[in-house]
Amino acid sequence: MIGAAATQRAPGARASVWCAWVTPVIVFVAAVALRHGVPGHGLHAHWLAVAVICVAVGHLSWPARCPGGLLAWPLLMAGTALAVMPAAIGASQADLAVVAALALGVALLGGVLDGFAALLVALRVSPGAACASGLALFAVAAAAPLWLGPWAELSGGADLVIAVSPLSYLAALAQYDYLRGQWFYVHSPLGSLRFDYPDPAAGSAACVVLAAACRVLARCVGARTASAARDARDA
Amino acid sequence: MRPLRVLALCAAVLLAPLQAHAADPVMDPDLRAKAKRATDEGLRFLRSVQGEDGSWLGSVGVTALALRAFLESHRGYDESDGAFITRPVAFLLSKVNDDGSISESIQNRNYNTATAIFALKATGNPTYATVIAGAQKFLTGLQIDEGEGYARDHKYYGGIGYGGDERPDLSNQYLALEALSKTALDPKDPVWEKALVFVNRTQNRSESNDQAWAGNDGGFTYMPGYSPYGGTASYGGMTHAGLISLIYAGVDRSDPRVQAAYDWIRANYTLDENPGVKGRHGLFYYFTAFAKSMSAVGEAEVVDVANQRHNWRNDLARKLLSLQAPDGTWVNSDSQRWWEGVKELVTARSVIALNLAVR
Repeated sequence: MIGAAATQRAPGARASVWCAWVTPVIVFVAAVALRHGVPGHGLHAHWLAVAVICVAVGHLSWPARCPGGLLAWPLLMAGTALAVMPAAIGASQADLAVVAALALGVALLGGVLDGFAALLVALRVSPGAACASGLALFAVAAAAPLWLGPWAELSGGADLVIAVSPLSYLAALAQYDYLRGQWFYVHSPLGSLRFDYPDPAAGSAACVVLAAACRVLARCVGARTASAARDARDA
Repeated sequence: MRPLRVLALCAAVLLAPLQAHAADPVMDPDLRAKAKRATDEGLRFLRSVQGEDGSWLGSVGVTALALRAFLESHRGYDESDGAFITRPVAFLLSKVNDDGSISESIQNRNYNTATAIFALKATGNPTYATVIAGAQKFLTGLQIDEGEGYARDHKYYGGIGYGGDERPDLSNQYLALEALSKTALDPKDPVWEKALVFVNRTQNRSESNDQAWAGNDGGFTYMPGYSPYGGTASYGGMTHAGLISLIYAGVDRSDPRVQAAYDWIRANYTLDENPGVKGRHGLFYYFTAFAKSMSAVGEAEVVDVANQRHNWRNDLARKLLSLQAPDGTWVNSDSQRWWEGVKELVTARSVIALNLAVR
């Protein structure tokens, strides 16, 4: 939405450059505020939170027409995560591997959301609405342990519910058992059940497949729309 | 006189078994025999489902509990008895990590490490001393204190959680303290004093709990300011966990905190449910914590607030015997919480509880 607004005022490359500067700044400020404003949580919890903010802000800033290709924006977000986490939250030598893995997760999740938004744009949805829809989908999926938790307790489907949530993917990368953290333990029954977090490698592969599928579909829809427009003109 | 003497002698001979029966204040002999048979059946089940690698479910925690169940049983199993003991030991040793934790995953590292070193210590094998020492260091390192940037007045101070960045709670706390006590951590180690700061903050006793929410029924809740069963309500599993924590941390039995917890137990004495809990959540966790705390207190009987005397060993044995399935297993068929739908885990816990009762 930030990107869409910027694109309207200053289309093309200038909007992308503007978003590329603003987004990391927003994420950095949020990370510092979180660390100092929300005590009582360890480093890994804060890294997870920053990764989520990075994905969300990055998607809201998505410029829709980004020079540098499909990978440019996700890679920018990954770089933001990689720079912000040690700078704003701190990282020892041993934890840099966790930060790097999280940065990769940010890039892949960002790619999925951007691909989904691109598909909606190909379906003639405005870039702003497409971003908002992607973010809404992310939020609903992330909250699956809350609204599907009671069902999981009764049905034994804890692993499935946890796998559906992108939070679980990021938490597995952050090596943080978020379902047993203070807030989720109180609000979801999953923390008291037997479960496994999704394997990060499998989660990453799923992101790549989803992002690629969205892009391919977007291209097909776009080609069909362009062809229909040509036919209409010729007619 | 002679016939009288003979009569008296005969009476003494005939009445001696009854006297012995009546004189045994610890446990009813019939129940003791049945409880021992029940543990044998439970252990038979565990052996039948043991993995090739000696583990149960590939889980350090479940394996350690099952191993403890075998080692503490009336049969006196040890490593000389065969692979069903040596393989789970080897499995646990294979899961020792560089940081001293013993866990197959990042989840439940405190629980896994604590139960593992308890079991390793129970083998009596001194060669595991180095592993145990490393695990002790890991557990004490989990304690939240100035090292993590927490001031003493923070509600989390002194607490031990699941083993990552998660919040501390009394359940993880008591398991860690039990393991550290069993493995003879130095009584002067500061972990004990700091642990008491946290334990105090989970007790509903305003005289020793500096938190504004503290009530005064003497029982314990899950975390400072939170009970899964509403507000800050005390409940059975945590009250026994809190009592165990106080005792292992070196608090004298005459201390008012111990007395208050024991009074809560007296006022809520039951084995028909986990008192204060909705449904049958954590029922077997309660039975195990009950057995541990009653063993630690050392009294054969509990006199409740209505002045009824309860032989806790007999009561626990009767209850567990009534819940054992024909295949020798126990399971919580009404609740999956805290893994109580897992037969291997619940059977191991039940055998541990019965072992403590018949000891």
